[in-house]
Amino acid sequence: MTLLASLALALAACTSTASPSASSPAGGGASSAPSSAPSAAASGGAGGGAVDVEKSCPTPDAEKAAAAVDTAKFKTDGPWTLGVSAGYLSNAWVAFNNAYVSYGASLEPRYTSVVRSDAGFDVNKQVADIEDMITKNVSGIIYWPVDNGALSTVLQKAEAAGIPTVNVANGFSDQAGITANAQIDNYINGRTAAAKLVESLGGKGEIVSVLPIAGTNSATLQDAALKCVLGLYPDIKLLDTQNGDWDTAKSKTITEAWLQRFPKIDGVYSPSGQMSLGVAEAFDEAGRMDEVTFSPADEYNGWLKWIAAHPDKNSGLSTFPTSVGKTAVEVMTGILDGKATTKGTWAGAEYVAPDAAAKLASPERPDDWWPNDLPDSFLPSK
Amino acid sequence: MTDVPSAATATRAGVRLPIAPARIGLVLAIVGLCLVAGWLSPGFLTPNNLLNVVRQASVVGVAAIGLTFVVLVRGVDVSVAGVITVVATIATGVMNGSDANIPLAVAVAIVLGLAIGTFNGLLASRGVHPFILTLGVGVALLGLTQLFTGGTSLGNPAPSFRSVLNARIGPVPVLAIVFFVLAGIAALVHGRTTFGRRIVLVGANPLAARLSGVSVNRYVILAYATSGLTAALAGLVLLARSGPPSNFTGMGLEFQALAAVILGGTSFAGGKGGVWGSVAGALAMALALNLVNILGLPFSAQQIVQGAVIILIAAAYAAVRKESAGD
Amino acid sequence: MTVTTTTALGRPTSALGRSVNALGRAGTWWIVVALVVIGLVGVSQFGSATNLQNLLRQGSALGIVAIGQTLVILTGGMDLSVGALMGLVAVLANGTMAGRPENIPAAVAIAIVAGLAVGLFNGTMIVKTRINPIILTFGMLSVLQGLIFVYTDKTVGSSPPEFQALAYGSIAGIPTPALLCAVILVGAWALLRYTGFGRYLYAVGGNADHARRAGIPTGRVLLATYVLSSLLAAIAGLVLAARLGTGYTLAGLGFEIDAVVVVVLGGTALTGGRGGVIGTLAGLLVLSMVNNLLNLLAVSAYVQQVIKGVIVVAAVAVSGIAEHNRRNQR
Repeated sequence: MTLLASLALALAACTSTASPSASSPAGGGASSAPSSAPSAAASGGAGGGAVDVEKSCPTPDAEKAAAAVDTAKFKTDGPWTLGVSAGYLSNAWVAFNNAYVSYGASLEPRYTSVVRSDAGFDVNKQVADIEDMITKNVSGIIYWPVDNGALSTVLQKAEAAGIPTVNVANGFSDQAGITANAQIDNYINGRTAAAKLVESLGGKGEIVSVLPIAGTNSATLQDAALKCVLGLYPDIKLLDTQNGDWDTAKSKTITEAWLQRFPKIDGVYSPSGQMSLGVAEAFDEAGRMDEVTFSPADEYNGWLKWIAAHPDKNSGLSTFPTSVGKTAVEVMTGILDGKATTKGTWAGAEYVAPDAAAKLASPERPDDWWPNDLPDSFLPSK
Repeated sequence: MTDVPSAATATRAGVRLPIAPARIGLVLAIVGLCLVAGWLSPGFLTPNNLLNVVRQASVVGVAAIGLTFVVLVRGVDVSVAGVITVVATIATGVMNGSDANIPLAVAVAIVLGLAIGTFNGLLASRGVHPFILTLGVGVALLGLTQLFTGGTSLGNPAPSFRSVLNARIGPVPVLAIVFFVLAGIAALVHGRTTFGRRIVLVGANPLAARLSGVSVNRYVILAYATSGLTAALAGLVLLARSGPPSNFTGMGLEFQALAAVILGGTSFAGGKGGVWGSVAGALAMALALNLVNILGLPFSAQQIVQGAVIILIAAAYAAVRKESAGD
Repeated sequence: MTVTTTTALGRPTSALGRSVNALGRAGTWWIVVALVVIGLVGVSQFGSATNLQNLLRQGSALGIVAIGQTLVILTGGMDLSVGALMGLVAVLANGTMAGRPENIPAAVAIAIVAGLAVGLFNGTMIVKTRINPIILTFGMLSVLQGLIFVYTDKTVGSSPPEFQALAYGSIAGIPTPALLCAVILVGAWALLRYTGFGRYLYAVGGNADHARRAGIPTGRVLLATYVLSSLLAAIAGLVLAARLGTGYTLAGLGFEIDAVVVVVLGGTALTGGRGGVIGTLAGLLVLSMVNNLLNLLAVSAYVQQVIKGVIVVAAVAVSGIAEHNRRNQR
């Protein structure tokens, strides 16, 4: 039953008609059907090439994101207490995102305190965390969800109590309870990665796809973008899709199995650098590096170091900047000031050419690192 | 769950049983899995792939080696995942990208593992129930890791550490050799040393052990220390194989290691079982998962297969044991 | 270790040893009282009606499943499949309802059937093959979680407001899920205290062999226990479904371990035969209040996890050592 729903979504994506998600009514964040128009951040020729990928695979939700938010009811004078509800803090990306939220709050003197919680990927705990923040009467809640659908009820409670909510970096959602979003377009990242990959392959070949944790907004959108682009290139065959869960070790294990099953793999679709690293290692250990091309990925430092060391495998990047955390704070400030705010504010999803990409690497830093302009005191690691 | 030792067990304590029929069953199951997989997928039976499966089994397998000793003395240790994550993370920090730090990092890892294991053992030997105890310790360790790293890892592992340990000698992965050498040492200790015999005795019949002057507490502590040690080594294996772990990487490893031990024939009733059984158990599970991967089955199938394999093989053992014990 | 130095009769000689014993015997209720006092005195907003209601709502699903876990642990076993079962029920229920109130009966029926089926399977396997309960239920955890992903790979379905009342409604100011939990608690307590089944359960947990020789139908008692555990997990799953309002695939993750922790904190011994559901209530209150207080005090998330691990270890160490001393006195 959900296979049909996913197929329906993919088809809807390719026919670019605005249609609300038919399958999962409450799970707005996880499965929004794509609707229309261009995204402001999609500069740098995402897709380029003969086939106009941008036109045929438009990013979903751009119209909804441009809608205005009624901020008058949330307007309040400082001092403000900022609530930050993290769905999880257990990977480098969210750690940096979290640091950017703290940094952003420090730049606005009206935020006199920040209340933080971490749900450790337990959605029940996040519901409780947000309830407790409402009890503590915070001025606004910035959060990234374990699962948006499951938080809808408690977020509506927050809004009813006069507390605006900003969903950061989990993709756009206009589900009830979310006041505004600060997000990076996973769909554009996926589309750029797919388009560049098929271009490099000359429109022909067999590829595999590595997606993040099943059911997340990232996984859903990246998959939809790939399927849409593949619909335009009938000579590209998708051999298999597996979930690497943003985990290098798991991505490596999956790839080892693929290398056994498929005597030849021409390309790897993997918009997440942390996973691409595991995939690349597996190819390397199997001595089959020559046969494969990698799609652009994000600016995970481990991946940056790898492509700097392997220039012939460097396809550039489609960015997923952790600074979107700071953007979220700016959006929240605007709401609390009662200023005109749109439902969604985009960041990142910009294409970076291979040379520039290699320069972003920080060789002396760990793999688990992201390029940033944070002052030292805000850096996540000691 | 814990049986009162009967007179029958007391006489069997310390006697080396020949290979149990159940253990043969496991070996047959492994061979069967290989044949099915080989038929379904041509690339499966190549030495390259089979040895790769051994390498994939090595993290769980190494942890299962020490865990065997704990289960032999009727205990359980589910802090393994926490130890693996903490050790792998701290070892990375100590190495800090430089080969010169490798010996220090390994030493720190070993000391950490022994310390945690000894802590567990001290409390377990004083009557604290090991399941919840080691669970709490594991949770605390994972929390401490996050506290130290702030979600990112502490540094880079030494370049040679990964390149040497993750390499192959001919077709044989170095980590597979490490795995089997450790298993061999542990099996020797179990089967041929006084230490090993006493562990078996303490597990099979603690009353008899005490009466013959063997300190039950001491050997329980040593068993848990051993488990801590191999968990630390497993953390180093993980680091070598796939780099510094995230908090998610270790999730579930403690139960996989426990499943490997149980599948291998070591039972909670104490005294019976051994290291090679746990090795076989770890291999069986890695084979089953590899098969599922190769068949391209979705994630859901992998979980179902893993669960089903564990249930089927464990049930088979339990049924055989019930018949042979004549209950 | 001075803690357990004993006299010839096995009584602890040191003050520390005697305190440990006393703590273990008095049970977790002392900690409950201490936490309430700390909360009321030291943490603003703790005592507010809203917060107390939140607290009760937050703990209800866990409470229901922990009652079932108490029964299983009393028999000397453990049920690690309940979390995944809760998740499965949450997903199936929300998927079936799809936002429409007329589907509620169907959703509830499916939940009950799932609970019965899993409980019967677990119990039968454990009784007939003598497989270790930890291993069996751990295997079932994997199978059930896999089944969830067969049904859907992303969040699915939704609860109509009438159903969400199960989680968010109140009757006479008391949150509905807490009332449900209380009713189940009283029922379980009465079952254990006043029925033959309850007596059999304790006997099987104390010593299964002796129980069998005394003529107690241990097989049927165990089967019934696992069925009850799964049924209660299914009910908890419905509460979870109502609280989340949608079927999130990983919603049940971790409930099984939390349930065991709550039971053990309450003083029920993992070896079986001692303890009861009143203790579980104490354990539930402790865990819920600790979570709530740590959040209200804005303690760092990482530190929270370490604190919880330490509490679990300390609590079980105290009760375990006290138990050890008590055994040595016989």
